[in-house]
Amino acid sequence: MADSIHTQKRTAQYRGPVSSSDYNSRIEENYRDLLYLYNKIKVIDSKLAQSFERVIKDQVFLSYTLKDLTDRVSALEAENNKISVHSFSQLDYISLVGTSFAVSATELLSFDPYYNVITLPKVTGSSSSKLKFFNSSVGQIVPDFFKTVVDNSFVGVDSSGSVVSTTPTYNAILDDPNKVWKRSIISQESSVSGAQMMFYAKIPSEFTGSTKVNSIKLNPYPLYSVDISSIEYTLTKNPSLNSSDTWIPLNNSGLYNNVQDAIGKVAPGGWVTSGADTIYNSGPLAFYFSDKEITAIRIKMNQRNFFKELDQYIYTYGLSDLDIRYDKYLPSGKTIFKFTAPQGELIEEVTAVDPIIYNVPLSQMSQAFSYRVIYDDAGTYSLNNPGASSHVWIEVTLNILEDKTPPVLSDLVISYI
Amino acid sequence: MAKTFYDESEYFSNIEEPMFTRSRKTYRGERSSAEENLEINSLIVNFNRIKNSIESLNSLLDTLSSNLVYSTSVYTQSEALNDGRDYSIEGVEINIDNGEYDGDMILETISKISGKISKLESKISRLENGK
Repeated sequence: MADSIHTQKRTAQYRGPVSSSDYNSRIEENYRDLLYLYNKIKVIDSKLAQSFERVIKDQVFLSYTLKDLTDRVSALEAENNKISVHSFSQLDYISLVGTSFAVSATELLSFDPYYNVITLPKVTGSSSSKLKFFNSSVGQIVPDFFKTVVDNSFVGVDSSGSVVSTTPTYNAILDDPNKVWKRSIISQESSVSGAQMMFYAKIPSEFTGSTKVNSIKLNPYPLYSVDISSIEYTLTKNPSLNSSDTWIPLNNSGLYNNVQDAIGKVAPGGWVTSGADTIYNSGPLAFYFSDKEITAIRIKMNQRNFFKELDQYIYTYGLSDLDIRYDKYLPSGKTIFKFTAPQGELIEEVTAVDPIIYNVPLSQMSQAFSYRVIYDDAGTYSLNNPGASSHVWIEVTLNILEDKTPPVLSDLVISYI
Repeated sequence: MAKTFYDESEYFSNIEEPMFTRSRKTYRGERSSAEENLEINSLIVNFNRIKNSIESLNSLLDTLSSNLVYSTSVYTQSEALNDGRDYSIEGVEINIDNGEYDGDMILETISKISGKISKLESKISRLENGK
């Protein structure tokens, strides 16, 4: 029994004859259907268990492999007498509570391990999303004013007339791990250009009351498979969500032009050489900038990878999360990192502390970032270097820039002897 | 749901009988209301069991998918200091590489793994560029 049930439809005639054999047949059919349903659930339960067992066991060892890779990178850094931040567990402000270096809760820098960013303390009550709205009784809602457009007028398999299977674009703003905006293009042949689109999203100012924005976060789907080649914004009131609006690269000042390490840390589309800052196989992205009155954004996406099933080429891309926000920050904040010397070594002196910050020009770095090196001097935390330490602490201070850019610390690297 | 870490299927009986009373009629025989009522009641019991099993499977799917993936919008401070959220599987322990780790089985969510990969990518990029 695959697609049909055993129970057949019978229509009893008013005051018509009753047949015992017919009745008995109906009972038998009911029984066989029940038997099937009963045991099918058991089969599904068993299949589910086996599938999840496989996924879970694979995932456990993937995590351990990642830990191994992290250790190996640490070892490579140590060869050059450097240590960086490998885990947010290195944030050790708790150990210095009660000392002269204690950081109060209000001045503690905020951090996000998913996007790997550390930034100024956030004033939660004055911060809000421009796309995600919640109702106390219903939960998250999608406002009627939420508007998106997908422009697929680019070379590749995603073009006018292509076979498209898509979930709603508003899935990208829903905080539900089961909801993803995914757009699948089913093609008879592959293409070197892959699938390309420009995704437009309007900020519903009718609902938010303000279009002031200072951060954009997005998670391309599937993770680490989609190229993001530009992120732009418009100031046009009531934007049309097409190329007739005036679009400005989010990194319009061209920060860190041609610095390879900055790819993925600066919004693509702002460098002098077009395409040089494309984020290939992008992971989760977060960009923080000075306040802008943004009415809409657009993101250029490209999926070069495909799955092949039954001679069909399937290109899938989209967003598992999108947020456009205005976050209010305190003008300054601190935190403390702990660095541990590699096994068998001691830190005699910290010779340099290099912040990895890509949303602040180098010329303004000294305004945005400062630090102090703290040692454990015979049980007392001190700025005095006892000469050899197995651990050192770096107190980091970040300050907001004059144009209200909140500096974002992606990493911190110490050099030592 | 069956246990996830060893294959119990060999211990299952292949067919499970539903609670069902197949009351049969005979040609021109008597109609027994008691039998018919019992039949209907046992049908209701079976349908409820099926319904509960389906709801249980559905709930389990939701739990497992949200714990494996997990939305990042609600990290607590302690989760953030741990680089993200973990999901522990009750009653299961794991031993890694002869004692490197021996304890409760902790599963890192995809979100946590993704954050770690992103961090690693940046460091490798700097190393490749001689920094």
